[in-house]
Amino acid sequence: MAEYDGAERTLGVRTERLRQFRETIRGDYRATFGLTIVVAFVLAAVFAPELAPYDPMAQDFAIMQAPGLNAHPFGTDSFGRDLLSRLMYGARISLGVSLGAVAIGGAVGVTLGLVAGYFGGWVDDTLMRFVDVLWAFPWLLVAILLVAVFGQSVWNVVAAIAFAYIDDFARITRGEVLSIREEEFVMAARNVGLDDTAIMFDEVLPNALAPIIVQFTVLVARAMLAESTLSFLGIGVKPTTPTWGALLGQGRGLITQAWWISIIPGVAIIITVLGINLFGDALRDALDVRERGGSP
Amino acid sequence: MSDPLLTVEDLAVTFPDPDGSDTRAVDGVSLSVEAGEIHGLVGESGSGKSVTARTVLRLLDDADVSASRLAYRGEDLLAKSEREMRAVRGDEIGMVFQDALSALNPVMTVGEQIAEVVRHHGDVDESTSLLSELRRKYVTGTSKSTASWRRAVELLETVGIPDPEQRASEYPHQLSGGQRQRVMIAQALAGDPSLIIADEPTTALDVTVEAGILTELRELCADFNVAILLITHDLGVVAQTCDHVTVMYSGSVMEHGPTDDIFEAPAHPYTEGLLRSIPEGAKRGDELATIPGSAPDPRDRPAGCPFRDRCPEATEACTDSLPEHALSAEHHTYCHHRPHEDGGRDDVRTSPQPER
Repeated sequence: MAEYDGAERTLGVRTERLRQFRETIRGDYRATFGLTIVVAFVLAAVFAPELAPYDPMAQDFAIMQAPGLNAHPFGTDSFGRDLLSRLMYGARISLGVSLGAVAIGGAVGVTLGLVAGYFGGWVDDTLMRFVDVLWAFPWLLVAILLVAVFGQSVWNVVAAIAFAYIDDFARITRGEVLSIREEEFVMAARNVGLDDTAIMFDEVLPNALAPIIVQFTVLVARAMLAESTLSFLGIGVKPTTPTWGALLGQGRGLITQAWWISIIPGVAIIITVLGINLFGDALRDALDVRERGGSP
Repeated sequence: MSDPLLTVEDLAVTFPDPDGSDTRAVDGVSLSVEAGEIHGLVGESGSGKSVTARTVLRLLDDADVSASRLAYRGEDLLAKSEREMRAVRGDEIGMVFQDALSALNPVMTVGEQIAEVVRHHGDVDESTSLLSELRRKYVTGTSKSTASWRRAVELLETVGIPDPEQRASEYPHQLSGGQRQRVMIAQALAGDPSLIIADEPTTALDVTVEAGILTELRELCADFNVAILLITHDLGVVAQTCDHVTVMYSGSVMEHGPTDDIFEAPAHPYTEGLLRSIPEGAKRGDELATIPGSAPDPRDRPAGCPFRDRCPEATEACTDSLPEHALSAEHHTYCHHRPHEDGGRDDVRTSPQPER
């Protein structure tokens, strides 16, 4: 538990929370490392137009499939496009799609699981059977369906991936809620006159957050791969748009002649996934006040 | 006396069992709590004290409840909708649980939990919409400058927590057992109730802390004119704290009346047995008094007086349903043999000791 000195006694809950958070991040190498990676990649993505040395679409047939040179640190692809620039622009789609899809799937899934687990009975049965149906759907078919009906776009990719993850979140949340709703503090909350919505979101959900956060970080990693899958199959974003998955797919046939075209985007995916997972682990510990322990 | 705060008449609570052996946890309980008094509800484990209390707040979803009257300030609680009950809970009737550690939310600071109740009872002009509560819960926390937070700190001070500003920003696990119990009391007070139901509030605490909490309850009762229904199995607590007592055994009321009358002149063999079991002045090596036998299984309770299998005075008549005898306007007992036909209360006290 944190030590308090005189000055900190006057701090409010808000600053107290921030302070704890900063302390956890600073004291935990996983958090520092993970957060640094994620922030660096996000910055690279956001400021790609300013930072990228070349236009990601500019072709230079003089230096096709060139390995790393001073002018092109990560080399060029088979059209002579600069790989570093394409990676930076690709991060915009890859990070955006995976974070967005998991956030949307998570919001829907967590709400479903929370309501199902809290109310139980026929509400639970109905919602969870609906979730079973979602789970039974091959998400690739859903993606193909979306593309067939609405055409290729980033939004359809996000929707297809979000759709695939609803059931994961719903199940995990429901399982947690089932045990938390039996805790005495839930009855105590009813007892002071809180209604069901307030109890669900204010009392139950904060206690169920730890596994949900872990699931979030795991699924962001998977979503990045899912986006690659869709791009690879040609039902992702437009083929010329650089995404990490698409870059990887394009380099696949050239792995013996120009390994960097596929390996470098692959390494980028691995590092990002690692960073998100490490940060997620640390975040879970930081948010779980019980884990911090403390003396009465 | 004319209009008690809480009236329970002939309350029966049954937990249905699909296998057929329903549990009749409470059977024909009556009690009334006057405004501003501390009313003790005493009984051993499984006697239906807590079930009675939770039924008053309609917190038991899976129980069959019937009563000829269950009224708070003359309003029928059984006729209220869940929405109307929410206004009663907290606003009118607060509750303090036995185990404060599990009754407080472990991931919220205690100030946050009290402030939330303050907001929901509309004592302050702060939004309680889902979005603003979510923002407070997950992002900002309740700001220290808001009225609800200041009220939370004030309540913590009222219940005798030292350094309340600091304690308000701590989590339940960071407080001591006695402080947690005080937090529960502060939370119960947050809605300005007229009645607090305290379900074994001191059972998990050691004796010195217990004394502190009981003093606190008595002071609150006097300062805020709050009535307290104190559920306990400890007669010592009752003697120190309560104005009136209701003694329960195996789902039924055995005796009720003013605390002094009950302790001076118990009129039911069970109450006598309980009082005799207090190890007062016992020396090392003395055998402590007990009541032989154990309480009947609530799924298979014999007809008539539930105490008759253990009662030294039991006769055939005890299989009939319980009669009520008024010893005075307030002191009532439910026994076939009391008061004795040939005498008054004095005779009760000299009744023969049961064989051991």
